Amino acid sequence: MQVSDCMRTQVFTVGTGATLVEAMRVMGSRKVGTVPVIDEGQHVTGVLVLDDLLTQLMPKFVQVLRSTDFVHDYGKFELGPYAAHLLGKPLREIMRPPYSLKEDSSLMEAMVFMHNHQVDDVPVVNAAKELVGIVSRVRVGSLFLIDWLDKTSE
Amino acid sequence: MTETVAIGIFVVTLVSIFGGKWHRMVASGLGASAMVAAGLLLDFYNEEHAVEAIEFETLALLMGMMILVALLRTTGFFEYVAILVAQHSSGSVIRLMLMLGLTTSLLSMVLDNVTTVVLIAPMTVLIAEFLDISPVPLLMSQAIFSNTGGMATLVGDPPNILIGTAAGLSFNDFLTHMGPIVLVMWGSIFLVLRYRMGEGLRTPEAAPQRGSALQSLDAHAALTDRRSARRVLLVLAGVIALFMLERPLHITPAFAALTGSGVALAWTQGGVHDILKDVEWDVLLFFTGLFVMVGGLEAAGVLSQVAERLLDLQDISPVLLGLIVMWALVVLSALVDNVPVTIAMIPVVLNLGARGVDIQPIWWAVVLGTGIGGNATPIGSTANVVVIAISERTDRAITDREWLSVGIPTVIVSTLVASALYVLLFDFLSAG
Repeated sequence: MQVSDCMRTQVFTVGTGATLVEAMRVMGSRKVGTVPVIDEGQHVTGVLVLDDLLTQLMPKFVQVLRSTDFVHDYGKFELGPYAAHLLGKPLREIMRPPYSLKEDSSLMEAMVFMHNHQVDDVPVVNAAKELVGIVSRVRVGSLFLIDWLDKTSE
Repeated sequence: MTETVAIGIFVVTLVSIFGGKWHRMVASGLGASAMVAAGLLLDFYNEEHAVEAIEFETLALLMGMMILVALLRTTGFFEYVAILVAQHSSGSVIRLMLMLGLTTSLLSMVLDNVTTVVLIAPMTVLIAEFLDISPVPLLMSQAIFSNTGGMATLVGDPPNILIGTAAGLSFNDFLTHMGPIVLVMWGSIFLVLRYRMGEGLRTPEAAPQRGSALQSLDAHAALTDRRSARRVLLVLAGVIALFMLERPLHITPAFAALTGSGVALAWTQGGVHDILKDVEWDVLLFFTGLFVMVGGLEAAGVLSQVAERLLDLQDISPVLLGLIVMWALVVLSALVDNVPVTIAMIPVVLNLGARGVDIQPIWWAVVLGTGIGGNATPIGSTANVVVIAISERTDRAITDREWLSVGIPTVIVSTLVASALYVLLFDFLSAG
Protein backbone atom coordinates (compact mmCIF):
# COMPACT_ATOMS: atom_id res chain seq x y z
CA MET A 1 0.00 0.00 0.00
CA GLN A 2 1.32 3.40 -0.88
CA VAL A 3 0.18 6.96 -1.11
CA SER A 4 -0.96 6.68 -4.74
CA ASP A 5 -3.50 4.04 -3.64
CA CYS A 6 -5.50 6.56 -1.68
CA MET A 7 -4.71 9.97 -3.15
CA ARG A 8 -7.31 12.16 -4.80
CA THR A 9 -6.18 12.99 -8.33
CA GLN A 10 -8.50 15.95 -8.80
CA VAL A 11 -6.57 18.72 -7.04
CA PHE A 12 -7.83 22.28 -6.75
CA THR A 13 -4.84 24.54 -7.20
CA VAL A 14 -3.97 28.14 -7.94
CA GLY A 15 -1.12 29.50 -10.04
CA THR A 16 1.84 31.32 -8.55
CA GLY A 17 0.45 34.59 -9.89
CA ALA A 18 -2.94 34.24 -8.16
CA THR A 19 -4.08 36.66 -5.47
CA LEU A 20 -4.91 35.64 -1.96
CA VAL A 21 -8.58 36.40 -2.59
CA GLU A 22 -8.65 34.08 -5.63
CA ALA A 23 -7.10 31.31 -3.56
CA MET A 24 -9.64 31.89 -0.78
CA ARG A 25 -12.46 31.67 -3.33
CA VAL A 26 -11.14 28.30 -4.55
CA MET A 27 -10.91 27.08 -0.97
CA GLY A 28 -14.41 28.28 -0.13
CA SER A 29 -16.25 27.11 -3.24
CA ARG A 30 -14.51 23.71 -3.45
CA LYS A 31 -14.68 23.13 0.29
CA VAL A 32 -11.05 22.09 0.58
CA GLY A 33 -8.70 22.89 3.45
CA THR A 34 -5.49 22.90 1.42
CA VAL A 35 -4.73 24.55 -1.92
CA PRO A 36 -1.32 23.87 -3.50
CA VAL A 37 0.21 26.81 -5.33
CA ILE A 38 1.86 25.62 -8.57
CA ASP A 39 3.95 27.08 -11.39
CA GLU A 40 3.53 26.39 -15.14
CA GLY A 41 5.55 23.19 -14.86
CA GLN A 42 3.10 21.80 -12.23
CA HIS A 43 5.73 22.13 -9.49
CA VAL A 44 4.48 22.98 -6.02
CA THR A 45 5.81 26.40 -4.99
CA GLY A 46 3.77 26.79 -1.83
CA VAL A 47 0.76 25.52 0.08
CA LEU A 48 -2.15 27.59 1.32
CA VAL A 49 -3.70 26.08 4.44
CA LEU A 50 -7.19 26.96 5.69
CA ASP A 51 -6.07 26.96 9.31
CA ASP A 52 -3.50 29.70 8.62
CA LEU A 53 -6.23 31.91 7.15
CA LEU A 54 -8.60 31.22 10.03
CA THR A 55 -5.87 32.02 12.55
CA GLN A 56 -5.45 35.42 10.92
CA LEU A 57 -9.17 36.05 11.30
CA MET A 58 -9.21 35.23 15.00
CA PRO A 59 -8.67 37.89 17.68
CA LYS A 60 -4.96 38.40 18.40
CA PHE A 61 -5.30 37.43 22.05
CA VAL A 62 -5.80 33.83 20.94
CA GLN A 63 -2.16 33.91 19.81
CA VAL A 64 -0.74 35.24 23.05
CA LEU A 65 -2.76 33.29 25.63
CA ARG A 66 -2.26 29.67 26.55
CA SER A 67 -5.95 29.04 26.97
CA THR A 68 -9.06 31.09 26.27
CA ASP A 69 -11.62 28.68 27.68
CA PHE A 70 -12.92 31.45 29.90
CA VAL A 71 -14.16 33.42 26.90
CA HIS A 72 -17.71 32.34 26.12
CA ASP A 73 -18.96 35.37 24.22
CA TYR A 74 -16.87 36.49 21.27
CA GLY A 75 -19.27 39.38 20.69
CA LYS A 76 -17.93 41.79 18.12
CA PHE A 77 -15.42 39.28 16.75
CA GLU A 78 -18.35 37.28 15.33
CA LEU A 79 -19.68 40.26 13.42
CA GLY A 80 -17.05 41.72 11.16
CA PRO A 81 -15.87 43.30 9.03
CA TYR A 82 -12.87 42.22 11.05
CA ALA A 83 -9.20 41.93 10.00
CA ALA A 84 -10.08 43.44 6.61
CA HIS A 85 -6.37 44.11 6.05
CA LEU A 86 -6.01 40.41 5.27
CA LEU A 87 -7.56 40.99 1.85
CA GLY A 88 -4.67 43.19 0.80
CA LYS A 89 -1.95 40.67 1.73
CA PRO A 90 -0.09 38.86 -1.05
CA LEU A 91 -0.62 35.11 -1.34
CA ARG A 92 3.12 34.61 -0.88
CA GLU A 93 2.96 36.04 2.62
CA ILE A 94 0.30 33.64 3.89
CA MET A 95 1.19 30.42 2.05
CA ARG A 96 3.56 27.88 3.57
CA PRO A 97 6.81 26.85 1.90
CA PRO A 98 6.26 23.87 -0.45
CA TYR A 99 6.00 20.35 0.97
CA SER A 100 4.89 17.11 -0.65
CA LEU A 101 5.02 13.32 -0.54
CA LYS A 102 6.08 11.10 -3.43
CA GLU A 103 3.42 8.89 -5.01
CA ASP A 104 5.30 5.78 -3.94
CA SER A 105 5.69 6.93 -0.33
CA SER A 106 4.36 4.37 2.16
CA LEU A 107 1.26 5.01 4.23
CA MET A 108 3.35 4.97 7.39
CA GLU A 109 5.67 7.64 5.96
CA ALA A 110 2.63 9.76 5.08
CA MET A 111 1.14 9.34 8.57
CA VAL A 112 4.37 10.26 10.30
CA PHE A 113 4.85 13.25 7.97
CA MET A 114 1.36 14.57 8.77
CA HIS A 115 1.87 14.00 12.48
CA ASN A 116 5.28 15.71 12.62
CA HIS A 117 4.32 18.66 10.45
CA GLN A 118 0.82 19.06 11.90
CA VAL A 119 -0.89 19.07 8.49
CA ASP A 120 -4.05 17.32 7.32
CA ASP A 121 -3.45 17.26 3.57
CA VAL A 122 -0.23 16.76 1.64
CA PRO A 123 0.30 17.33 -2.10
CA VAL A 124 1.63 14.24 -3.92
CA VAL A 125 4.26 14.55 -6.67
CA ASN A 126 5.75 12.11 -9.22
CA ALA A 127 9.42 11.44 -9.89
CA ALA A 128 9.59 14.62 -12.03
CA LYS A 129 8.25 16.55 -9.00
CA GLU A 130 5.01 17.36 -10.83
CA LEU A 131 1.80 17.52 -8.82
CA VAL A 132 -0.26 14.38 -9.42
CA GLY A 133 -2.65 14.31 -6.46
CA ILE A 134 -3.30 15.12 -2.82
CA VAL A 135 -3.77 12.87 0.22
CA SER A 136 -5.65 13.66 3.38
CA ARG A 137 -5.04 12.34 6.87
CA VAL A 138 -8.45 10.66 6.74
CA ARG A 139 -7.75 8.92 3.43
CA VAL A 140 -4.32 7.69 4.50
CA GLY A 141 -5.51 6.77 7.96
CA SER A 142 -8.63 4.87 6.92
CA LEU A 143 -6.78 2.86 4.28
CA PHE A 144 -4.06 2.10 6.82
CA LEU A 145 -6.64 1.00 9.41
CA ILE A 146 -8.45 -1.34 6.97
CA ASP A 147 -5.15 -2.78 5.83
CA TRP A 148 -3.96 -3.24 9.40
CA LEU A 149 -7.23 -4.92 10.49
CA ASP A 150 -7.08 -7.29 7.51
CA LYS A 151 -3.50 -8.27 8.22
CA THR A 152 -3.91 -8.51 11.98
CA SER A 153 -7.11 -10.55 12.05
CA GLU A 154 -5.83 -13.05 9.47
CA MET B 1 48.05 45.15 32.57
CA THR B 2 45.82 42.83 34.59
CA GLU B 3 43.36 45.65 35.23
CA THR B 4 43.15 46.52 31.54
CA VAL B 5 42.56 42.90 30.53
CA ALA B 6 39.88 42.37 33.19
CA ILE B 7 38.09 45.61 32.29
CA GLY B 8 38.37 44.72 28.60
CA ILE B 9 36.70 41.32 29.11
CA PHE B 10 33.92 42.85 31.20
CA VAL B 11 33.23 45.68 28.76
CA VAL B 12 33.25 43.41 25.70
CA THR B 13 30.76 41.14 27.46
CA LEU B 14 28.48 44.02 28.37
CA VAL B 15 28.63 45.36 24.82
CA SER B 16 27.81 41.96 23.34
CA ILE B 17 24.83 41.62 25.72
CA PHE B 18 23.74 45.09 24.63
CA GLY B 19 24.23 44.24 20.96
CA GLY B 20 21.94 41.27 21.42
CA LYS B 21 23.94 39.06 19.08
CA TRP B 22 24.28 36.34 21.68
CA HIS B 23 21.87 35.42 24.42
CA ARG B 24 22.98 37.21 27.59
CA MET B 25 23.58 33.90 29.35
CA VAL B 26 25.92 32.77 26.57
CA ALA B 27 27.72 36.12 26.64
CA SER B 28 28.20 36.02 30.41
CA GLY B 29 29.31 32.36 30.25
CA LEU B 30 31.95 33.13 27.62
CA GLY B 31 32.97 36.24 29.56
CA ALA B 32 33.40 34.16 32.72
CA SER B 33 35.57 31.62 30.87
CA ALA B 34 37.65 34.41 29.36
CA MET B 35 38.09 36.01 32.80
CA VAL B 36 39.28 32.75 34.39
CA ALA B 37 41.59 32.05 31.44
CA ALA B 38 43.08 35.55 31.67
CA GLY B 39 43.39 35.15 35.42
CA LEU B 40 45.30 31.88 35.03
CA LEU B 41 47.62 33.34 32.39
CA LEU B 42 48.32 36.57 34.23
CA ASP B 43 48.14 34.93 37.63
CA PHE B 44 45.44 37.05 39.25
CA TYR B 45 42.44 34.69 39.30
CA ASN B 46 41.75 30.94 39.16
CA GLU B 47 38.94 28.37 39.20
CA GLU B 48 38.82 28.23 42.99
CA HIS B 49 38.42 31.99 43.24
CA ALA B 50 35.75 31.83 40.56
CA VAL B 51 33.68 29.34 42.57
CA GLU B 52 34.11 31.47 45.70
CA ALA B 53 32.85 34.51 43.79
CA ILE B 54 29.49 32.88 43.08
CA GLU B 55 26.82 34.09 45.51
CA PHE B 56 24.91 30.87 46.06
CA GLU B 57 22.53 32.53 48.48
CA THR B 58 21.29 34.86 45.76
CA LEU B 59 20.88 32.01 43.30
CA ALA B 60 19.00 29.92 45.87
CA LEU B 61 16.60 32.75 46.70
CA LEU B 62 15.93 33.39 43.02
CA MET B 63 15.40 29.71 42.31
CA GLY B 64 13.03 29.27 45.23
CA MET B 65 10.89 32.18 44.11
CA MET B 66 10.96 30.96 40.50
CA ILE B 67 9.63 27.56 41.55
CA LEU B 68 6.79 29.15 43.53
CA VAL B 69 5.85 31.33 40.56
CA ALA B 70 6.06 28.38 38.18
CA LEU B 71 3.61 26.51 40.43
CA LEU B 72 1.27 29.48 40.51
CA ARG B 73 1.29 30.27 36.79
CA THR B 74 -0.24 26.97 35.74
CA THR B 75 -3.23 27.46 38.04
CA GLY B 76 -4.71 30.34 36.02
CA PHE B 77 -4.46 32.69 39.00
CA PHE B 78 -3.00 35.56 36.95
CA GLU B 79 -5.71 35.31 34.29
CA TYR B 80 -8.33 35.24 37.05
CA VAL B 81 -6.96 38.40 38.66
CA ALA B 82 -6.71 40.23 35.32
CA ILE B 83 -10.32 39.43 34.43
CA LEU B 84 -11.61 40.62 37.80
CA VAL B 85 -9.64 43.84 37.50
CA ALA B 86 -10.85 44.49 33.95
CA GLN B 87 -14.45 43.84 34.93
CA HIS B 88 -14.20 46.41 37.70
CA SER B 89 -12.81 49.09 35.39
CA SER B 90 -16.22 49.49 33.70
CA GLY B 91 -14.75 50.29 30.31
CA SER B 92 -12.81 53.42 31.34
CA VAL B 93 -9.34 53.21 29.84
CA ILE B 94 -7.65 55.39 32.42
CA ARG B 95 -9.18 53.38 35.27
CA LEU B 96 -8.11 50.21 33.50
CA MET B 97 -4.55 51.51 33.23
CA LEU B 98 -4.55 52.49 36.88
CA MET B 99 -6.00 49.23 38.16
CA LEU B 100 -3.97 46.91 35.93
CA GLY B 101 -0.87 48.95 36.78
CA LEU B 102 -1.56 48.72 40.48
CA THR B 103 -2.17 44.98 40.24
CA THR B 104 1.04 44.47 38.29
CA SER B 105 2.96 46.56 40.82
CA LEU B 106 1.59 44.62 43.78
CA LEU B 107 2.27 41.25 42.15
CA SER B 108 5.76 42.42 41.18
CA MET B 109 6.52 43.25 44.78
CA VAL B 110 6.44 39.58 45.71
CA LEU B 111 6.90 37.85 42.39
CA ASP B 112 9.41 38.16 39.62
CA ASN B 113 8.63 41.13 37.32
CA VAL B 114 9.13 39.19 34.17
CA THR B 115 6.72 36.44 35.16
CA THR B 116 4.12 38.96 36.23
CA VAL B 117 4.36 40.77 32.93
CA VAL B 118 4.52 37.57 30.87
CA LEU B 119 1.20 36.51 32.39
CA ILE B 120 -0.65 39.82 32.64
CA ALA B 121 0.35 41.29 29.25
CA PRO B 122 -1.46 38.67 27.11
CA MET B 123 -4.59 39.28 29.18
CA THR B 124 -4.15 42.99 28.49
CA VAL B 125 -4.14 42.28 24.75
CA LEU B 126 -7.43 40.43 25.22
CA ILE B 127 -9.00 43.23 27.25
CA ALA B 128 -7.86 45.87 24.74
CA GLU B 129 -9.26 43.88 21.83
CA PHE B 130 -12.60 43.50 23.55
CA LEU B 131 -12.75 47.25 24.17
CA ASP B 132 -11.37 48.06 20.72
CA ILE B 133 -8.60 50.23 22.15
CA SER B 134 -4.85 50.16 21.54
CA PRO B 135 -3.06 47.82 23.96
CA VAL B 136 0.13 49.89 23.69
CA PRO B 137 -0.36 52.40 26.55
CA LEU B 138 -1.58 49.64 28.85
CA LEU B 139 1.34 47.36 28.00
CA MET B 140 3.97 50.06 28.42
CA SER B 141 2.54 51.23 31.71
CA GLN B 142 2.45 47.65 32.98
CA ALA B 143 6.16 47.13 32.36
CA ILE B 144 6.95 50.46 33.99
CA PHE B 145 4.74 49.78 37.01
CA SER B 146 6.17 46.30 37.33
CA ASN B 147 9.72 47.70 37.42
CA THR B 148 8.63 50.33 39.92
CA GLY B 149 6.75 47.97 42.25
CA GLY B 150 9.72 45.63 42.21
CA MET B 151 11.93 48.28 43.78
CA ALA B 152 9.95 48.20 47.02
CA THR B 153 10.86 44.73 48.27
CA LEU B 154 13.81 42.41 48.70
CA VAL B 155 12.44 39.88 46.21
CA GLY B 156 10.74 42.31 43.84
CA ASP B 157 13.65 42.73 41.50
CA PRO B 158 16.87 40.79 40.82
CA PRO B 159 19.11 43.79 41.69
CA ASN B 160 17.36 43.99 45.08
CA ILE B 161 18.01 40.33 45.76
CA LEU B 162 21.68 40.91 44.90
CA ILE B 163 21.95 44.03 47.04
CA GLY B 164 19.94 42.58 49.91
CA THR B 165 22.11 39.48 50.09
CA ALA B 166 25.37 41.40 49.85
CA ALA B 167 24.41 44.20 52.22
CA GLY B 168 22.48 42.08 54.70
CA LEU B 169 19.35 44.16 54.17
CA SER B 170 16.20 42.34 55.20
CA PHE B 171 12.76 42.19 53.62
CA ASN B 172 11.54 44.61 56.27
CA ASP B 173 14.42 47.00 55.63
CA PHE B 174 13.38 47.20 51.99
CA LEU B 175 9.70 47.59 52.75
CA THR B 176 10.18 50.34 55.31
CA HIS B 177 12.94 52.24 53.50
CA MET B 178 11.96 51.84 49.86
CA GLY B 179 8.20 51.40 50.32
CA PRO B 180 7.39 55.06 51.03
CA ILE B 181 9.70 56.33 48.28
CA VAL B 182 8.23 53.90 45.76
CA LEU B 183 4.72 54.94 46.76
CA VAL B 184 5.39 58.60 45.99
CA MET B 185 7.27 57.68 42.83
CA TRP B 186 4.34 55.52 41.74
CA GLY B 187 1.96 58.45 41.95
CA SER B 188 4.27 60.73 40.02
CA ILE B 189 4.83 58.09 37.33
CA PHE B 190 1.08 57.68 36.98
CA LEU B 191 0.78 61.41 36.34
CA VAL B 192 3.61 61.34 33.79
CA LEU B 193 2.07 58.40 31.93
CA ARG B 194 -1.33 60.03 31.97
CA TYR B 195 0.12 63.20 30.55
CA ARG B 196 2.40 61.57 27.97
CA MET B 197 -0.11 59.00 26.74
CA GLY B 198 -3.01 61.47 26.77
CA GLU B 199 -4.77 60.51 23.55
CA GLY B 200 -4.10 56.79 23.89
CA LEU B 201 -5.84 56.68 27.27
CA ARG B 202 -9.00 58.43 26.12
CA THR B 203 -12.01 56.14 26.46
CA PRO B 204 -13.64 55.71 23.03
CA GLU B 205 -17.34 56.52 23.02
CA ALA B 206 -18.36 52.98 22.23
CA ALA B 207 -16.17 51.46 24.94
CA PRO B 208 -18.73 51.39 27.76
CA GLN B 209 -21.09 49.24 25.67
CA ARG B 210 -18.21 47.05 24.60
CA GLY B 211 -17.27 46.77 28.25
CA SER B 212 -20.30 44.54 28.66
CA ALA B 213 -18.49 41.90 26.59
CA LEU B 214 -15.80 41.95 29.29
CA GLN B 215 -18.47 41.14 31.86
CA SER B 216 -19.13 37.93 29.95
CA LEU B 217 -15.59 36.66 30.62
CA ASP B 218 -15.73 33.81 33.06
CA ALA B 219 -13.12 34.52 35.73
CA HIS B 220 -13.84 31.27 37.53
CA ALA B 221 -13.27 29.26 34.37
CA ALA B 222 -9.88 30.98 34.04
CA LEU B 223 -8.85 29.71 37.47
CA THR B 224 -8.31 26.21 36.22
CA ASP B 225 -6.78 24.77 39.37
CA ARG B 226 -8.35 26.52 42.30
CA ARG B 227 -7.02 24.13 44.91
CA SER B 228 -3.39 24.45 43.86
CA ALA B 229 -3.74 28.21 43.51
CA ARG B 230 -4.96 28.45 47.10
CA ARG B 231 -2.17 26.21 48.37
CA VAL B 232 0.62 28.03 46.53
CA LEU B 233 -0.71 31.40 47.69
CA LEU B 234 -0.78 30.13 51.28
CA VAL B 235 2.81 28.93 51.00
CA LEU B 236 3.79 32.24 49.43
CA ALA B 237 2.21 34.07 52.35
CA GLY B 238 4.19 31.82 54.69
CA VAL B 239 7.41 32.58 52.86
CA ILE B 240 6.77 36.31 53.09
CA ALA B 241 6.06 35.92 56.80
CA LEU B 242 9.42 34.14 57.15
CA PHE B 243 11.09 36.96 55.20
CA MET B 244 9.68 39.39 57.74
CA LEU B 245 10.88 37.28 60.65
CA GLU B 246 14.35 36.86 59.14
CA ARG B 247 16.17 38.64 61.98
CA PRO B 248 14.40 37.17 65.04
CA LEU B 249 14.52 33.64 63.59
CA HIS B 250 18.11 34.00 62.32
CA ILE B 251 17.29 32.58 58.91
CA THR B 252 18.15 33.76 55.42
CA PRO B 253 15.57 34.65 52.75
CA ALA B 254 17.10 31.94 50.57
CA PHE B 255 16.25 29.35 53.21
CA ALA B 256 12.68 30.64 53.43
CA ALA B 257 12.20 30.59 49.66
CA LEU B 258 13.70 27.15 49.14
CA THR B 259 11.74 25.68 52.04
CA GLY B 260 8.59 27.27 50.66
CA SER B 261 9.17 25.90 47.20
CA GLY B 262 9.75 22.43 48.64
CA VAL B 263 6.56 22.57 50.68
CA ALA B 264 4.57 23.89 47.73
CA LEU B 265 5.90 21.17 45.42
CA ALA B 266 4.93 18.52 47.95
CA TRP B 267 1.53 20.00 48.75
CA THR B 268 0.35 20.63 45.20
CA GLN B 269 1.97 17.47 43.87
CA GLY B 270 3.03 19.49 40.85
CA GLY B 271 4.87 17.57 38.15
CA VAL B 272 8.49 18.32 39.04
CA HIS B 273 9.71 18.14 35.44
CA ASP B 274 7.09 20.55 34.15
CA ILE B 275 7.66 22.98 36.99
CA LEU B 276 11.44 22.90 36.62
CA LYS B 277 11.01 23.65 32.91
CA ASP B 278 9.42 26.95 33.93
CA VAL B 279 12.36 27.92 36.14
CA GLU B 280 14.44 30.44 34.26
CA TRP B 281 17.72 28.56 34.26
CA ASP B 282 19.18 30.97 31.75
CA VAL B 283 18.78 33.77 34.29
CA LEU B 284 20.45 31.73 37.04
CA LEU B 285 23.34 30.84 34.73
CA PHE B 286 23.58 34.43 33.53
CA PHE B 287 24.00 35.50 37.15
CA THR B 288 26.58 32.79 37.77
CA GLY B 289 28.64 33.94 34.79
CA LEU B 290 28.47 37.53 35.97
CA PHE B 291 29.53 36.60 39.51
CA VAL B 292 32.59 34.83 38.13
CA MET B 293 33.41 37.75 35.85
CA VAL B 294 33.01 40.38 38.55
CA GLY B 295 35.07 38.18 40.88
CA GLY B 296 37.84 38.53 38.29
CA LEU B 297 37.41 42.30 38.15
CA GLU B 298 37.73 42.41 41.89
CA ALA B 299 40.76 40.11 41.96
CA ALA B 300 42.44 42.32 39.35
CA GLY B 301 42.00 45.24 41.72
CA VAL B 302 39.69 47.18 39.43
CA LEU B 303 36.79 47.59 41.79
CA SER B 304 38.85 48.78 44.73
CA GLN B 305 40.31 51.40 42.41
CA VAL B 306 36.83 52.57 41.48
CA ALA B 307 36.09 52.86 45.19
CA GLU B 308 39.34 54.76 45.65
CA ARG B 309 38.37 57.22 42.93
CA LEU B 310 34.99 57.75 44.53
CA LEU B 311 36.77 58.44 47.80
CA ASP B 312 38.88 61.10 46.06
CA LEU B 313 35.64 63.00 45.93
CA GLN B 314 36.12 62.98 49.72
CA ASP B 315 35.15 66.59 50.13
CA ILE B 316 31.65 66.02 48.92
CA SER B 317 28.96 65.37 51.49
CA PRO B 318 27.60 61.82 51.97
CA VAL B 319 24.25 62.98 50.57
CA LEU B 320 25.86 64.16 47.34
CA LEU B 321 27.91 60.95 47.09
CA GLY B 322 24.66 58.97 47.30
CA LEU B 323 23.02 61.15 44.66
CA ILE B 324 25.99 60.82 42.31
CA VAL B 325 25.88 57.03 42.67
CA MET B 326 22.11 57.05 42.05
CA TRP B 327 22.29 59.23 38.94
CA ALA B 328 25.24 57.36 37.46
CA LEU B 329 23.35 54.08 37.92
CA VAL B 330 20.15 55.51 36.41
CA VAL B 331 22.08 56.31 33.23
CA LEU B 332 24.03 53.03 33.23
CA SER B 333 21.04 50.79 33.81
CA ALA B 334 19.03 52.57 31.14
CA LEU B 335 21.75 51.66 28.65
CA VAL B 336 22.78 48.18 29.76
CA ASP B 337 21.20 45.35 31.72
CA ASN B 338 20.95 46.43 35.35
CA VAL B 339 22.00 43.03 36.72
CA PRO B 340 25.67 43.19 35.63
CA VAL B 341 25.73 46.84 36.72
CA THR B 342 24.50 45.84 40.18
CA ILE B 343 26.85 42.87 40.48
CA ALA B 344 29.81 45.09 39.60
CA MET B 345 28.66 47.89 41.89
CA ILE B 346 28.34 45.72 45.01
CA PRO B 347 32.10 45.17 45.58
CA VAL B 348 32.69 48.88 44.95
CA VAL B 349 30.27 49.79 47.72
CA LEU B 350 31.75 47.14 50.02
CA ASN B 351 35.18 48.64 49.33
CA LEU B 352 33.89 52.06 50.26
CA GLY B 353 32.62 50.54 53.49
CA ALA B 354 36.01 49.00 54.21
CA ARG B 355 37.49 52.49 53.89
CA GLY B 356 35.24 53.83 56.59
CA VAL B 357 32.38 55.32 54.57
CA ASP B 358 28.84 54.84 55.94
CA ILE B 359 27.51 52.70 53.10
CA GLN B 360 23.98 52.18 54.39
CA PRO B 361 22.52 55.13 52.41
CA ILE B 362 24.63 54.20 49.38
CA TRP B 363 22.94 50.81 49.16
CA TRP B 364 19.59 52.57 48.86
CA ALA B 365 21.02 54.83 46.17
CA VAL B 366 22.04 51.69 44.26
CA VAL B 367 18.56 50.19 44.65
CA LEU B 368 16.90 53.36 43.37
CA GLY B 369 19.37 54.01 40.57
CA THR B 370 19.28 50.50 39.10
CA GLY B 371 15.51 50.28 39.55
CA ILE B 372 14.60 53.62 38.00
CA GLY B 373 16.96 53.50 35.01
CA GLY B 374 15.40 50.35 33.59
CA ASN B 375 12.26 52.23 32.54
CA ALA B 376 13.99 54.57 30.12
CA THR B 377 14.67 52.39 27.10
CA PRO B 378 13.01 49.42 25.39
CA ILE B 379 15.91 47.21 26.52
CA GLY B 380 16.33 48.79 29.98
CA SER B 381 14.63 45.89 31.74
CA THR B 382 13.48 42.40 30.83
CA ALA B 383 9.87 43.38 31.53
CA ASN B 384 10.12 46.02 28.77
CA VAL B 385 11.54 43.48 26.36
CA VAL B 386 8.69 41.08 27.18
CA VAL B 387 5.81 43.52 26.62
CA ILE B 388 7.39 44.68 23.35
CA ALA B 389 7.70 41.08 22.19
CA ILE B 390 4.04 40.47 23.04
CA SER B 391 2.95 43.65 21.25
CA GLU B 392 4.77 42.43 18.15
CA ARG B 393 2.43 39.47 17.99
CA THR B 394 -0.57 41.81 17.72
CA ASP B 395 -1.41 44.42 15.07
CA ARG B 396 0.19 47.16 17.17
CA ALA B 397 3.90 46.69 17.82
CA ILE B 398 5.47 49.13 20.29
CA THR B 399 8.18 51.15 18.50
CA ASP B 400 11.46 52.27 20.08
CA ARG B 401 10.44 55.87 19.56
CA GLU B 402 7.13 55.28 21.29
CA TRP B 403 8.90 53.75 24.26
CA LEU B 404 11.46 56.51 24.60
CA SER B 405 8.80 59.22 24.42
CA VAL B 406 7.23 57.76 27.57
CA GLY B 407 10.24 56.10 29.21
CA ILE B 408 12.58 59.08 29.31
CA PRO B 409 10.12 61.54 30.92
CA THR B 410 9.16 58.79 33.38
CA VAL B 411 12.78 58.27 34.37
CA ILE B 412 13.51 61.99 34.65
CA VAL B 413 10.54 62.58 36.91
CA SER B 414 11.15 59.50 39.04
CA THR B 415 14.83 60.41 39.43
CA LEU B 416 13.86 63.88 40.60
CA VAL B 417 11.27 62.49 43.03
CA ALA B 418 13.67 59.84 44.31
CA SER B 419 16.48 62.37 44.72
CA ALA B 420 14.28 64.79 46.64
CA LEU B 421 13.08 62.04 48.96
CA TYR B 422 16.61 60.70 49.29
CA VAL B 423 17.79 64.08 50.53
CA LEU B 424 14.78 64.57 52.80
CA LEU B 425 14.93 61.08 54.29
CA PHE B 426 18.73 60.82 54.34
CA ASP B 427 18.98 60.43 58.12
CA PHE B 428 16.32 57.74 58.08
CA LEU B 429 18.02 55.91 55.20
CA SER B 430 21.35 56.05 57.02
CA ALA B 431 20.00 54.52 60.20
CA GLY B 432 20.05 50.79 59.52
